[in-house]
Amino acid sequence: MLPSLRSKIVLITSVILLLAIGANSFSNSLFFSSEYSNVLQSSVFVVGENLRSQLNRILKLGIRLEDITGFEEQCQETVESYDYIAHAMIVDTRGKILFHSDPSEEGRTLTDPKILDLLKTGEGGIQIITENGNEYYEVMIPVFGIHDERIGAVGMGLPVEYVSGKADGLRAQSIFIMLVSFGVATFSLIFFISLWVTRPLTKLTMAIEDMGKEGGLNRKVQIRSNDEIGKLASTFNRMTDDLKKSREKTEKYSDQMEDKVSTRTTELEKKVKEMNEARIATLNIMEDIGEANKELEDRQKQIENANRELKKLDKLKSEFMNIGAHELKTPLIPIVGYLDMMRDAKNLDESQKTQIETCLRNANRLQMLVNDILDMSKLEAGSMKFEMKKTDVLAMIKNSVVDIETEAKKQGIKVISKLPESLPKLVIDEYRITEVLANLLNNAIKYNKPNGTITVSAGHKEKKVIVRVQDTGIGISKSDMKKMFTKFFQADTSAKRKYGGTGLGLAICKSIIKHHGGDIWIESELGKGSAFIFTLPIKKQEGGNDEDTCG
Amino acid sequence: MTRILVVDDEPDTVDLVKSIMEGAGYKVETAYNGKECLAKVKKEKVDIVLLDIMMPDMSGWDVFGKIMKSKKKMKVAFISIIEVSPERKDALMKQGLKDYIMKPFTKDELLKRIKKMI
Repeated sequence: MLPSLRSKIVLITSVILLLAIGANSFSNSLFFSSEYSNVLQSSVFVVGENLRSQLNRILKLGIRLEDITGFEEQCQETVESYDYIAHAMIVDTRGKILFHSDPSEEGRTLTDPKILDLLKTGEGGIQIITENGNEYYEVMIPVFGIHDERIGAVGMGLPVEYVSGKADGLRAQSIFIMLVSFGVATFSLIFFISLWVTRPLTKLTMAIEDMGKEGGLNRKVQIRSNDEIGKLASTFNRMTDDLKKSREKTEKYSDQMEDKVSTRTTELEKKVKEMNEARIATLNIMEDIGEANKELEDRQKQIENANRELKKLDKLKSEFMNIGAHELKTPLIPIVGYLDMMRDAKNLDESQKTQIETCLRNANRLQMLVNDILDMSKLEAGSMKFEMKKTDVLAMIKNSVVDIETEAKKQGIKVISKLPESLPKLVIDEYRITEVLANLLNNAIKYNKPNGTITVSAGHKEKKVIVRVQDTGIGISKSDMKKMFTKFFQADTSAKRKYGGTGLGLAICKSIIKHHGGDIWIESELGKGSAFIFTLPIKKQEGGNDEDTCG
Repeated sequence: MTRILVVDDEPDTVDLVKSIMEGAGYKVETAYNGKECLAKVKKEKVDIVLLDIMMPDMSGWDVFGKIMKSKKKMKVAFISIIEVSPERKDALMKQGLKDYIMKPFTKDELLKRIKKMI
């Protein structure tokens, strides 16, 4: 495990501090010792200069150097005054010692070549020399006579040992100060870290630890400072406040929830009981539904049966239409046939002939009636089959006109065709529309005045083909016009007797035209004749295109 | 002499057609249902068959189909109450039918159509 936060901070800071102070002291001690040495050397020069000026004063009195006596006292005085000067002396230009602080040295000549070199330059200087086993900084200052001639030098000895000893003292002092300041710094560091960081943190930590305990949230951390820890503490306090509130809320909630849960549990139990009952009820209902379904199935079967019955009936009905047609028509065939044959018999008198004609005419009428009734029934039942296909209407009209021309001629009636060069092709049941047209044309013959005319015209506009059959007959009153298309209606009963007819023709026509999506109506004026007009719609794929029209 | 087989389930109609045809000098055979017709067609030499369509045992359509299948040299015409569309008539003609005569017919019309067939 790593040591505490405080130890870590102290350790790191101490190392930095130690390095900084150590480096500083080391460089200081180096600097100071060399500087001290320089200062000492300079002061030796100064002292030497002082000694030289004393000597110069004597020389200025005109006394020669060789003649001066007792100057060794001055040398001794100098050595005594300055503890760092080991010796002081006056030498002549050849290095012979004239005066020395130690009088026993007088008369000796200096032999060290470095010193002898210094004496020759006349400028003075400093050299390290070894004498009697001791090292010295030897300072030589030249001495000049009255005529500025070089006559000797002042020599001063500064022991190297003294200088280095002083430097060592300085270094030791510096190390001592360093150690003391380091100690003080470290101590202060420990103290302040403890005061500002560790202790508040410990407080916080304890508070956090306490949070878990009973009433821990009521505790406040008492740290009043503006630094990060202070902010942390206030944040922590806020957090505990919030936590406290939310815990209170949660407690309240959980209390409420407990209440609710118990209430709900009771309700649920009740519900479960109810549901069980409901389930049983549902099962019962299911059983009922099953029965109901069964009933429904039965009903469906009944309906299906009924449907089948209905289909059978429908089939029977259309069968009746066919069989009925057959059965109704069949007896008439031999009647009409034999009457037709009898008419040609040779041994008949006039009245017999008339009787046979009457029989034949009525048999024919009955045949027509049967046919019309069957057609009408089919149209009304919707069982009439229409065979719709593209038809050349113009050709169809022309053919119909041709078909009645013989009959018209017989009656002395003129047929005029006013037909266009072309008409659009239409999708129609050609047979049925021809039937309509024949019916209208026959009526126009029947109800025309003698030597009258029939005008057949046709045209197309607004997506319709219009066909018009105009006669010059007695005309039809407005009140009769609409009734004309109802079943068994004939405007003139005398005409009915005269011309026969079933009274169904126009009703059948209308039904056929309506089936095609067209219209049929009458335009008439009493006494001036009537026009029967019908339209047939042109559907998109049939009309509009010239290729589809035909002339 | 042209031999005509008249087939109809209505004896009166058969008699009528027979009288008209014999009056015109044709030799007439009769049958009152499909089976009888097919039997007579097999046994006897017949030139023209006038065939009704609505018959109880076998329809005229079926009888016509069987005669056509037998590839006997005879002309068949329907003589019926039932109206058929021109298309149907064309289709029947293509199958070998010679004429489709509508009931009711007049003596003159019937004789004209028979003559045309021969």
